Amino acid sequence: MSLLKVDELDVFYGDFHAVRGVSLKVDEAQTVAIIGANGAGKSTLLQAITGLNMQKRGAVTFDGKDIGRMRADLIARNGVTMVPEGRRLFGSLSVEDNLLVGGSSGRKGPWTLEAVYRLFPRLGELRKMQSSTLSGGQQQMVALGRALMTNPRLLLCDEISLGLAPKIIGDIYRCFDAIRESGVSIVIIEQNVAQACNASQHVYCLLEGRISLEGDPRKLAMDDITAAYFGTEQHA
Amino acid sequence: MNTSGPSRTRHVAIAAAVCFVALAVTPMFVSQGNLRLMIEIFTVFAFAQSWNFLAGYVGLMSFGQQLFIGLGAYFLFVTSNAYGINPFWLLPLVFVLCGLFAAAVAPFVFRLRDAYFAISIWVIAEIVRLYISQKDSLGSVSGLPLMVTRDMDRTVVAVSNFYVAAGLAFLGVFGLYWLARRRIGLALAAVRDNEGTAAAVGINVWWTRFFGFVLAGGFAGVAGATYYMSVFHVEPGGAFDPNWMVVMLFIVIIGGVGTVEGPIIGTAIYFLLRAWLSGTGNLYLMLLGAAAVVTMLVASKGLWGIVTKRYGFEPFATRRPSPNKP
Amino acid sequence: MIWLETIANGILLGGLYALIGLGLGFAFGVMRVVNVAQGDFIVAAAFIGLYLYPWTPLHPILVIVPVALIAFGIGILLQRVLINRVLGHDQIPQILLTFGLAIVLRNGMVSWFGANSQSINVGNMRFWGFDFLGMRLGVLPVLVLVIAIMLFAALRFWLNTSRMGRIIRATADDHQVVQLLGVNYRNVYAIAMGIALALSAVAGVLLAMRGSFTPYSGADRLLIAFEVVVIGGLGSFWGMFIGGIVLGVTQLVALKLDPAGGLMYGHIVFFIILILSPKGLSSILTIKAFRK
Repeated sequence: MSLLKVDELDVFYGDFHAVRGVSLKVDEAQTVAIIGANGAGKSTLLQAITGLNMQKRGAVTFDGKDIGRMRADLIARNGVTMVPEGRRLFGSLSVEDNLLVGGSSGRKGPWTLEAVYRLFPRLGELRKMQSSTLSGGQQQMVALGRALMTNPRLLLCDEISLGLAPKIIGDIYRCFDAIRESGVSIVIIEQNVAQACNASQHVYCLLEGRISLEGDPRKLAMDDITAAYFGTEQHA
Repeated sequence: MNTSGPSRTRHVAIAAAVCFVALAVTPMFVSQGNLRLMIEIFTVFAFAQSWNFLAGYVGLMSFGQQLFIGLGAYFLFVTSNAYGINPFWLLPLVFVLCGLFAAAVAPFVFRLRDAYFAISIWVIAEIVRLYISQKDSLGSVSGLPLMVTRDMDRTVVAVSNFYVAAGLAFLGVFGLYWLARRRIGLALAAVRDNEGTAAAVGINVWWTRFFGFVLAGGFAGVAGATYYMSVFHVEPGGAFDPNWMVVMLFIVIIGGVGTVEGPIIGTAIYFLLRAWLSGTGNLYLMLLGAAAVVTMLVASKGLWGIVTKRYGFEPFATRRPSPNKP
Repeated sequence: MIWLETIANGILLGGLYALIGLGLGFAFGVMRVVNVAQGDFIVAAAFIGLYLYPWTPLHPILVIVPVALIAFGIGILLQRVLINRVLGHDQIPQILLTFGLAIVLRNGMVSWFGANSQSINVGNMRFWGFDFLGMRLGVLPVLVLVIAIMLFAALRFWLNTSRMGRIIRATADDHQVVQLLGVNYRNVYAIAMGIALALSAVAGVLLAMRGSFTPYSGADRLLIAFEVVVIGGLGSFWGMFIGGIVLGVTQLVALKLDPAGGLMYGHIVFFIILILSPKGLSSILTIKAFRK
């Protein structure tokens, strides 16, 4: 059975119909990538799944439970969390306090302060630092660690490689294996198609709010992905 | 939108003409007592409309609009008494002085936002009230009488007063309608809705707000002067009374903030309630407050908002239909 | 010497003013909500204190404890039942809602308790004094200042070290993201409003012990709270303390020079500070290089 099932979801962002009839599913311990150009509706889709956006129609089922109308904090307590776009750390809090806020959800599991520091040893050294003074890569680690501290079953990552150096992106993506091994399913949103295809077992391409292509990234032709991404028929 | 632009403008113009004539002939048919009540209703409506303009059209919420009511009254009383001038001729001067006062404080209070802006004007009103209360030359706490009109024919004074008050109410409806449809009205709406977008399309946000604040101050000042002129006496505790704010808020919120029509309904309800509940003192004020709370909880657009939503009826629609968003 | 004593007394009064501002500033810092009814809640707390202190064991001053607890409960209810329903990007509904509430409260208190001036009697303590550096200071004002400082420090400490304090700080930074971590920000807001009202209630009771109050005192209390917060630089913690002391000293010095002035000079000083510095006193005191 799939862990997350989204069925015919429509989402509005203000007056703008951003997501149109999207259906997708995520299996246990699977990594799914959602790719698409700017404004394709990727972030709005994740906001709807996490309950931050309530202007939506359609069904969202998580672990057999209907979470379509559930409040965001309850969805998180059921085991769905997100690393938001732009990291959005609690800037006035220390690194450790950021992580501990993540740990206040009350869910039990393998992810504790020690486990996060084991995954990102650098954060252990910076734990007393105010999070807003960290570099972009370090902040992204805090954001990821903070989300893991809720011991999620499904982790949504919104553009986590945006604005980071390639080496740091590599470091962060290498951690995904360890995260998945702890039993967490992952959904990543990426503009970098190659990165997304490498990291995932299943990929959905969004174009103007609709799914234009989906499948196993190893079996999809690059040309088809490009066409689905840009909405062009002719091959670039 | 059930009527197209030009024909709506024509309807409003006809309505304006009818109102104008009706107001012009009213004093011939109404007793002096009723004339006095109507002066009060029109000036209180003008107070409310000045606040409505500020909150609903300029997007600046103030808790100190009584400042301009009191200032207008004192400017008028002091200059008229000092130079023996017929107070009616001083009303344009009152507008200028109150506008200047608003212009002088605007650069400072504009540094604060939202509730802090709102309360900072209230602080200024308190400073002025306390200053006047101590100043013997301004009559201190017991206030000033209006000397010049004492020797004039009472009927002439009452009728002139009525025409001024009616003119203010007329401006409060049709002037506001006219202004909101001008270029400056659109700029005000843009600034109110989203500063960033307004700045992006080339509107000077600060000066637009400044214009709105000064205009609302001047208008409230003239209305305040008219109100106190009709009672021949002004004292700081009454003129700068925060309860004026309660009345304005009630009228505008109940009726519907940011509409031309809402405060008309609000004013009617206010005076009806006051007539029914006269003598109950604080109960009546409590009811005004409770009504504001309930309106915010159930219908933040006020009674007029309910009407327009249900019937799509908006004779004075000042909002143009927005182009379809992408 | 008499001036030094006046200034010392101004500082003692200022600590209490700071406490009046703390509730308003704390609520603003966490929720960006300005509770316009805060001043009237302060007066309501004084009335509750007035009715509870005869039953308070040990010493009347301890009445601040039950009053603070009651105010905490009222704050939670206020936020849950009313303010949480009008939260949003637009601040106007919550400001108007609390304004309406202020009118109801004020006039309700007038019809219940009458408009007479009241005071909470702390017995002989009112007249106790001691000599300090040649100045004569009252025991009660000093005690009130100590309570104010303790509450400031306790709140700061609790926010920095406790689990709930951490969640409150995180919610103040970003109330959307905390939801992704399983925190219901509306509950956090309710607790924050409870704390804000409890702090204000303590200030209200202490003010009623030092001086007198009527149901109409709420407007003055709100203006003081507001000035303390703005002078302090909108939410800066110890900045508010300085703001309170500036107002307290101004008021007592002005009272010596012009006994009829009332709060006018405090208002004027506030306005001058606003003219000199848009961000309040704390930005005058901070050297530019240290600011981000």
